[in-house]
Amino acid sequence: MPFVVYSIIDNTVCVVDLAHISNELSHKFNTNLEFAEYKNLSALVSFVKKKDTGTTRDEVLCYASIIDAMAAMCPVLPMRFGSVLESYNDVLEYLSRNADAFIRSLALISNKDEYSVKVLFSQSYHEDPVGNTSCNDPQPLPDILNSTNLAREYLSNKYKDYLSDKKKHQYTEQVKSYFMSQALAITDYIDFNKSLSPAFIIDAVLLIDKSKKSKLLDIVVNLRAMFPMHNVMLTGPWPAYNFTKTKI
Amino acid sequence: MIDDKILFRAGSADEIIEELEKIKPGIQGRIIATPDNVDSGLAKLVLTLIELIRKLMEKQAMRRIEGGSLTDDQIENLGETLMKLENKMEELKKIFNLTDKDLNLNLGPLGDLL
Repeated sequence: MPFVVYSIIDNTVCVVDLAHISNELSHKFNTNLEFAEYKNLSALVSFVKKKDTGTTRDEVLCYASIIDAMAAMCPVLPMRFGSVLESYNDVLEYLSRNADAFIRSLALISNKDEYSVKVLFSQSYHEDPVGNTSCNDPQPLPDILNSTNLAREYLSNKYKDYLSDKKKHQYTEQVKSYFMSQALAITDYIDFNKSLSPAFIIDAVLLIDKSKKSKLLDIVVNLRAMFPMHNVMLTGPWPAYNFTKTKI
Repeated sequence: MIDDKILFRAGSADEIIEELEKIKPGIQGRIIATPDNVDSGLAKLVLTLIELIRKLMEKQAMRRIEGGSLTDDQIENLGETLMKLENKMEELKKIFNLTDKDLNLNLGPLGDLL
């Protein structure tokens, strides 16, 4: 019977009544949740029926909501959607085999939450994002490209695109480093995701002490004040999905 | 769920949502090879790699122009070569019924190849 694994907790840190929590969450999410325990570690799991159809958005959201509800009670090592083991014994073996790595990761995220900061070019600036935000004059084309010849015209257009991309990249780095200089005052744990769309300037995740939440909010509000032409969004607290890279 | 998690938002909410929708993980960057479509699956993979190399060549060429190290003849050759290469790629994409969006590979946590 396959088991879905939602999250792992350290029982010495999370002093709660596991039976009570699993009952409460089972009732709330209409799933048979239970804890598989190995020494000081417990994994929140539920058995799952094999099905042929694909995953639905509701299933993914339910999975994330269960982890979120658990994280509201104590530090959890969140698993990614699709973490399924073949049997209950496999869950116990998984805990025993990786116990040290799990405990190290749980210690790192204890008393901390993950937040996400996204800064995006707004569409009105998207066409020429940097031209509108800096005072630099456009760089002149090298003389060697000035000709009506087809091949040179082609190269000249490519070169203009290249200069524009370069300028945009420099600007993005400038915004990023300003944000970084502020954020480093409250945490060492900052990860920048690779931009998945040209509209993104910053797509960062930060692991912050619970007590520093308001400082992060101030930083983001100041960032927006500094760059009012951009769209800015701060979300959280999330379970520490991006800071629990255990080697298993 | 995400609505409860928004601590601060400034600017156009519609634009933010639009961009977030665009980057939702999908099957766009995957090579789906089955016995029926193995030709196009393979073509997609090969053309993606050629496109990567073409773009790298293009970028290197731009750096050399910027550095001012190219002669008049070299510029002429470079322009013609890159133009022909791009035209050839367009032809190949048409033959295999592929668009620019198809020419990419999702590298998981590393993001997209192109």
